[in-house]
Amino acid sequence: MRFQRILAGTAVVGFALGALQAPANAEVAVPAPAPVETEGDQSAVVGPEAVCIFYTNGDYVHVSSTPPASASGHGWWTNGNCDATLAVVTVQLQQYYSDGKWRNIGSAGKATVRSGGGAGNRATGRVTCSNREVTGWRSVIDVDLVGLADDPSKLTTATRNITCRR
Amino acid sequence: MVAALRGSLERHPRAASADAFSLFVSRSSAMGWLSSHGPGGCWGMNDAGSDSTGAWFQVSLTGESVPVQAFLACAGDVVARLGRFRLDSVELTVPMPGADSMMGLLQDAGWFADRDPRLVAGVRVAVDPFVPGIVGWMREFRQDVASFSSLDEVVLAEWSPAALGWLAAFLAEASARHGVTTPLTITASRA
Repeated sequence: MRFQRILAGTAVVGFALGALQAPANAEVAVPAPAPVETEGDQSAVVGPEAVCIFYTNGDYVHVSSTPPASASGHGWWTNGNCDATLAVVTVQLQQYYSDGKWRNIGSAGKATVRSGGGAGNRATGRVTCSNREVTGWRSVIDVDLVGLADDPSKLTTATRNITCRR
Repeated sequence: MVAALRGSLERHPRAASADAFSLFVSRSSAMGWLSSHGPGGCWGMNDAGSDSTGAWFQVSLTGESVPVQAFLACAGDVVARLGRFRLDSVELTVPMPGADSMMGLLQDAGWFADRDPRLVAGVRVAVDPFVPGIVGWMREFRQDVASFSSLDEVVLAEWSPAALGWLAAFLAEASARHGVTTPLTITASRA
């Protein structure tokens, strides 16, 4: 769970977490199991005094129990005291590579949902496995409140090595 | 670790905003079982769902222990919260425990001491992979939760997710002691 603050009177400054590309002449990196202690690249919260509070939440990336075999992760938000009913929740799955880098895999799952993560109020990122080799995965979850400016920091879930490779 | 509680589930008319997933997250968080991107907890949430025949739950373990009893107790709390549920059977996929868990199991069995004899239930159990020696090994231990003639004739202290969870953990421990290293599939139904 990540605790975030709404920045008062600040325009939304969003950025995309793009794929990290290796130089063209480098050894080709391949998907690989990740060190369990690998930390997520959580960005710092910087800005003026908070106006309201909400939480970003998500589960560990896992092999989906519904076929086809896929890496899957959910994201949702929990309102503290913000004057917002809906938020756009985005879940981007990332796969670990042998060069030590994380890369975005597949399109981000995106949904406009209510607080709490209940029925119909979660976003899902999902990538079909190409094979069942043990590979490191994580998800990066972003929450953008509808109608309020909020900071651009995101939740990076803990690394999980699962039997799925793309 | 995966569990499916099968039977008949009649949703409460008021049950609309929460579902099996969100209730399981909330309940396991409240009980200290949920690992939420920090230290502590036993499992990370993966997925859950329900329909008129019951509910299913999937978690990924974050430690060496295999807390099957807690897992099923949490699942039982969730289905009770969702609606009126009649439990007919449980299907579980359980990883092998990474360390000797008998002391914990025997301690956990104390929950069923002084059990109400009216709640005792006959249970049929199937285990895959099955090692024939596990039944005789389990019979050696004195506990109040389950007695075994064979896996087709188990007498359980009560027909409840908590008791079934304890039984599954005992079966996993017995299987591990007899060389099983792959996840165990356990099915239990009322006899």
